[in-house]
Amino acid sequence: MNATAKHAGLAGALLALLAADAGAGNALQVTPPKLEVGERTLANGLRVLLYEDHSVPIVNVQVWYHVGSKNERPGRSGFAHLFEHLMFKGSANVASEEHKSFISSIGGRFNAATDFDRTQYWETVPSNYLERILWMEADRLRSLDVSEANFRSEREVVKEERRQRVENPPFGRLMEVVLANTYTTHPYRILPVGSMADLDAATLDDVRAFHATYYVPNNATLVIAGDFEPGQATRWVEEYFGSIPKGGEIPRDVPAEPAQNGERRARDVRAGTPLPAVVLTYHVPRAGAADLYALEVASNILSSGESSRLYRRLVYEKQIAVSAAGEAIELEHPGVFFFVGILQSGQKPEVGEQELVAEIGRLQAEPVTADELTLAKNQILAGLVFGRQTVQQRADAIGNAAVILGDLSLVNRALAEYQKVSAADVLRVAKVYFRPENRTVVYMLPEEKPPAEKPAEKQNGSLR
Amino acid sequence: MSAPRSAATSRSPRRAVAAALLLAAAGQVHADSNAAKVAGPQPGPAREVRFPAFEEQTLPNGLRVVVVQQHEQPLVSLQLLVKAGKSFEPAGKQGLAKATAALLTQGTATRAAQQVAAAIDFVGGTLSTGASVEAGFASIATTSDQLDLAFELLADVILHPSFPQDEIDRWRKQTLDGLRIKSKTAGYLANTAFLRTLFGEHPYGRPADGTAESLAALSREDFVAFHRERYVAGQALIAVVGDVTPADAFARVRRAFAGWAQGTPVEVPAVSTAASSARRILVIDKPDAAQTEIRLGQTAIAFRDPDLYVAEVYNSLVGKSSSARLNEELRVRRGLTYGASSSFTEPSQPGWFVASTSTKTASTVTAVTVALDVLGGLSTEAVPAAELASAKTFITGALPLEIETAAGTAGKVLEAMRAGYGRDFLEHYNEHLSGVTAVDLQRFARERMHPDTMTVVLVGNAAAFAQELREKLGAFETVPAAKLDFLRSDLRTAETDPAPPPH
Repeated sequence: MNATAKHAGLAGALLALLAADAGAGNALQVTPPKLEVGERTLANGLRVLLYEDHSVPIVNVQVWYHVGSKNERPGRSGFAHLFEHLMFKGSANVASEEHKSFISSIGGRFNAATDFDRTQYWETVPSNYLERILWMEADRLRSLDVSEANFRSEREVVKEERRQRVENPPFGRLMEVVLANTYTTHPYRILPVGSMADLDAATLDDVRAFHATYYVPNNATLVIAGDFEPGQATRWVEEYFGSIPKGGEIPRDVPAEPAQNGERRARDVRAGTPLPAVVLTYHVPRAGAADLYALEVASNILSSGESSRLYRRLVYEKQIAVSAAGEAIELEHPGVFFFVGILQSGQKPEVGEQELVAEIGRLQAEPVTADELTLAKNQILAGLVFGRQTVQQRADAIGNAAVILGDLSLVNRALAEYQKVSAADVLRVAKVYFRPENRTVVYMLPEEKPPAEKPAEKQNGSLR
Repeated sequence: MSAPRSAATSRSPRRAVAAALLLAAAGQVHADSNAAKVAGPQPGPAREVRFPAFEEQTLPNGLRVVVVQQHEQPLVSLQLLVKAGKSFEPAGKQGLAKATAALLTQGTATRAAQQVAAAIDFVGGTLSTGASVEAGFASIATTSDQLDLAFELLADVILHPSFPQDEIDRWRKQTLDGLRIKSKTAGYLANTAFLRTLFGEHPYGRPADGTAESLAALSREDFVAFHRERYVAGQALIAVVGDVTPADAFARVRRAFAGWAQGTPVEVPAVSTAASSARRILVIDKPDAAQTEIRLGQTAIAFRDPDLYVAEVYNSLVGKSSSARLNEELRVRRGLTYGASSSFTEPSQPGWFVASTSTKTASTVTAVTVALDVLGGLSTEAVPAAELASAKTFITGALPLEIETAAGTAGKVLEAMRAGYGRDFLEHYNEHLSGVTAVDLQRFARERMHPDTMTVVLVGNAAAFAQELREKLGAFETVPAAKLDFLRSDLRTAETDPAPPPH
C-alpha cells in the first residue's frame, strides 16, 4: 500500500500511517470457525452429516442426491433439473405443492438446485419443525407420486425457466455457447437447463426410471445444520429414512473428455448481445485436485476486486472492457478455467483476446509477488468467514465437501491447503494448464446489421 | 416399515392401516393421489424469539448510530445510509445520485481510486456504494482484525471524495456501456418504464440509472455539489455490526465522523394516490424477445401508513411466497411462468405496488388477465382463515431466519429508523401483523387497491400479442424498445432526433 498524504497535517499523517499499516503485506489475524461435523451412514447407505449450532432457533436440512446433468442420457438434456421440479409435485403422504405451502406457512424457506454433478434440496425452518421436515424429505425419497397432468404442467414451467434465464437476457446464452465449444464429448458440454426439444421429449416413464435409479438412499447425503439435539435427530432419521430400501449400484459411466490438442475457436453473433465478449477456456482438473488450490489463488490475483490484474489492465488502464475475470468452474469431473472480457462497445474482440492472453502470459512468465500471494490468501480466508455465517451456508460447505470434493475433512482442511500455495505453484499451474493447445476461444458479438430472416442459432458455432 | 411416530399417536387405527398400505405400495411409483394420507409429525414447543438487542446514540451533528453485536464470527460491517437517493436529485439531473455514489470510491483527498481498491481488496473485504429511491448508501465489511481500516476507509470515501475528472470520464464510458446492456434487458426496461409511467414527473418516476443523454450532461460540479448538500450527518444513519463492543463502536464512529457537517433536512414532494380514471397499458416492443416481461401495479402506501401491516399481509397472500395466489394461478395451475411475485415499496411518501412475472410471448395476454383477476378477487371475497394464517406466519415465522446474522438484524433496524420508528416498532411488529383480519384485508383491497385501473407495462414481441391484447383489455400505447427515452414524458425519442450513439 503506497498511499501518500496529499495534505499536510496531523490527519493526513494519520491516514498514511493507517493505510500503511493495513496494506504492508500482513496476513489476516483471524481464524474461521471450525465446523464440527458428526457423521454416520444408515444400513441402506444414506449418509448423514450433523452440524450443531444453537445460536438461533432454526435448522437447515439438505438432501444432496449425487446426480446431475452429467448423468443424463443422450436426448434427455435438462432432465435432472426437470426431475428436481417434480420432487415438489407430491408423494404418498404429501400432496402436490404441499411441501412448498407447508414450509411457507411456518415462516420457513426452501429451494432446490440442480447442477452438472448434483441435485440439492434444502429447507430452513424454525427448529421445532425438524421432525416434520425429515418426514417430508423421506416421503418424497420413498414414494414420489407425480401425475401426468402435473408432469406436463411443470415441464412448461421449466421451459419458462429456460426462456427467463437463458433465452431472454443479454448474454444469457454465453455459458451455453462456451461450454458447447469447450467440451466435445463429456456431458458438461450442455447446460443443466437442457434444450427445449429434449424437455419436450421427456416422459413420465423417464421420471419413474430416474427416481428408481438415482433417488435411493445409497445415492443421498442428508445434512442437518443448526439448532437440534443430535441423539433425537438421529432417532428421527432412522425412523423416517431407515426403512427405505437400498437401491442398486449407481451408474457412473459418464463419457470422459479427451485431452484437447489444439486450439478451438468459435464465433456467435446474435441480436440480443449488447456488447462484444471474448471468452477463453482451458481444461483443468476436477474439484479437490491438488492443482485447483493454486488455480484458485491465481483466480483471486487475476480478478478479485478493482485492484486485480485483469480489472486493472482491461477495464481501468486500457479501458477496452466493462468487466474482466478469470476463474475456475470447479466440477466433479475435470472442469474449466475461463477468462472472460465483456468489451466496451465498438472494441474489436481480437484486441480483447490479445489483452487477456497478455495477462495469462505474464502469469506464466514471472512469479506473482509476495503481496499478491498474501492478498489472495487473505481473500480466501475472509471468504470462509463471510461465506459461512448462516447455518445454510455451513451446510452447503459440508455437503459440497462430502459429495463433490469426496472428502468431508476438506470443509475444515481446505484453508491449510490454500495457505501452502507458493508463487512457484501459481507459475507452474499457469504453465501447465494455460497452454494454447488446451484453449477454446469464443467471441460473442452483437449483430451489426438488422436481424436477418434466419434464426440467430443458425450462426452459432461457425468457425472463424 | 414404521409409520411416522407422532402421526401415529394422533391418528385413528383405520387410517394407520391405510397409511401402512400406502407406504408398502410406494415403490410402485404411482400411488393413487386420492388415497388417504398420513399426517406429518407435529412440531415440538417453539423456542421464544425476540428481536435482538441493539444500542443507539445520536452524535451532536445529528448522525444516528446503531450497534448490533455478534461475537460468533470474526467479522464486522458498517452500513451507512443518507438521504441521497434519486428522489433528491435536482431537476434534469437524472442519474446523479447513483453516479455520485459510484464515484465515492473512485478517489479521495488522500487516496487514488486504485489505492482505495487495493486497501479493501488486500484484506479480502468489500466496500460498496450505491443509491436507491431515497437513500445513498455505503457499506464496508472486513474481518474483525481490520476494524481500524474499516472505519478509516468508510469515513474517507464518505467525507473526502475528490471526484477526479479522469475517474469521471472512466465512469461515464463504462456506465454508458452498462446502459447498453440494460437497454437489451427486458426486466430493466419493464421496471423503469413502470415507475416512469406511474409517477410521471414525480422523483419516484425517475430512471435511477439516468440515460445516455442525462449522464452526458453531468459534470464534476454536479457531483461535488450533490455530495456537499446531500451527504450530511443530520440526514444519515450508520450501523456498526458484528464482533465489536458498543463502547468501542460508538467511540470509533465519533472519532471518524465528528467533523461531518450536519447539513439541512430534505423531504420528498407529496405523491398523489388518487386512482387513475382508466387503465394505462404501455407495450414496449422488443421483437427479439423470447418472453414478455409483465408489470402491473399502482401507487400505494408510505412506510408510516397505518395500513402498513395490512398491506404486508395482502402482499404475502398475493405474491410474496411461491404458494401465494399469483404464483399459484400462473405457475402451479397453468404452467405459464417460472415465477410470479408482488411487492410494495414503502418510502417516505406513498410508494407503489407491483406484480411481476414473465411468460412466453404467446401467453402474454392470458398471464395479464389471470394476474388482474387474482388481484380483483381480494376485494370480492373474504380470505379463508387458513390461508390468512399462513400468509401471516410466512412473515412472522421468518423472524429467526432474518435475525440469524447481525447484518440481517441491522437491516431491519435501519429500515425502521429511516421511517422514524424505533425499538418499539421492531419488538411489536409481529404482534401488529398477526392482528390483521380478513375484514381488514377486504377493506384494504376495496378502498386502496385498484386492479381495474392499474398501470400495465409489457416488454415483448408486440406483433405477436397486440391483437389479443386489444380485444381483451382495450387500447394501449406502443413504443419500440429502440426508441425508448426515459427522459421524455411519452417515453419516446423525438422523431426529429436521430439520437446518435455516444461513440
